[in-house]
Amino acid sequence: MTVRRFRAMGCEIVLAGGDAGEVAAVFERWEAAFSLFRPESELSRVNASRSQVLAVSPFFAATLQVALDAAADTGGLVDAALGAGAVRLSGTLLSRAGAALDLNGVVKALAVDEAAATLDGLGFVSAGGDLAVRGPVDVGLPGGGAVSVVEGGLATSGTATRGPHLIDPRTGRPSDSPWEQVTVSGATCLAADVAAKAAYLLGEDGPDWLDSRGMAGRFLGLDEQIVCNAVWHRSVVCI
Amino acid sequence: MREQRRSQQTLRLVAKTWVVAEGRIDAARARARGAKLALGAVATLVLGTAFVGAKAHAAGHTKHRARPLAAPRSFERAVRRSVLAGGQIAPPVQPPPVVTSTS
Repeated sequence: MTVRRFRAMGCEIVLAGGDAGEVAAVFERWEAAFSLFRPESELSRVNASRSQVLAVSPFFAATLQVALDAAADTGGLVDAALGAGAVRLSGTLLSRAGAALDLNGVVKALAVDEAAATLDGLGFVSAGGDLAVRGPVDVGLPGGGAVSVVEGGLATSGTATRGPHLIDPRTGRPSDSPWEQVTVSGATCLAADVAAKAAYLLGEDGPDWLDSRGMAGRFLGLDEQIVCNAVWHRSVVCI
Repeated sequence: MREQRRSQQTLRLVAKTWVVAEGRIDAARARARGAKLALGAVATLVLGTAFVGAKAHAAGHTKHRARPLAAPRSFERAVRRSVLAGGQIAPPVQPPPVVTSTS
């Protein structure tokens, strides 16, 4: 399996089993629409607008709907509206009460899922460690060990790379989670990424929360201890 | 002189007849206009009553606003697949070509 690498969305993209140009085009399309660092991106223009009601592109609306669904499915823990609330979408009409949007929480995972769908055979696409696979791929885990991702995606969330950057919407402050990194297996990279963030923010309740959704999770504690939930234990030895 | 007086009398008679005829035509026109208005009002009333009556009582007439045949959005929301769904993992069989980490 030939592994290729390039940079996009501020992180390293690693892929195997596909056309690098095609995958790069997918990431460029997502970045062009949702980058907060490009003033011409649709997200930057929406955030810069003073209007409370805006007509957005169908692509933008569909992505925002995914983010709103993720917020609903996590009880508001993974919130694309930066805690400002009052973001409503009706078709392609966006209504927001001065809320600045940050869709990074779902955009990268959606780009990974779309890029993985372009693979014509076995392979994977990874963006900064969040990945989606076509066929079984062995993946190294934080703190050592590995797992074979048979189907779907795998994502890790935590403070190891960027420090305490995950804000707990319940307190409005950086999370004081007992975990350093939480790795989750999902049906898609999006599912894994959203669940990993939520499980991290839920702290001690994270493993049970994932079990109740049938999702496998592996928690690397701040004390270097590794905890796996019941679903993970059923599939893989917890190391 | 006599001839002239006779012709003046004839002219006066013709003018009088003309005025009388004009008055009768106007009256007839007014009656026709009133009849048309009355007929229109009655027809509108009958049609309106029949429409409302049919909506309320006749089988096959919609009694409420038409709704699409698709499932209501509230139902779709309730049964839609969650964003969160588990994937499949297994024990590794070879050294991993990629590592997951926080990004």
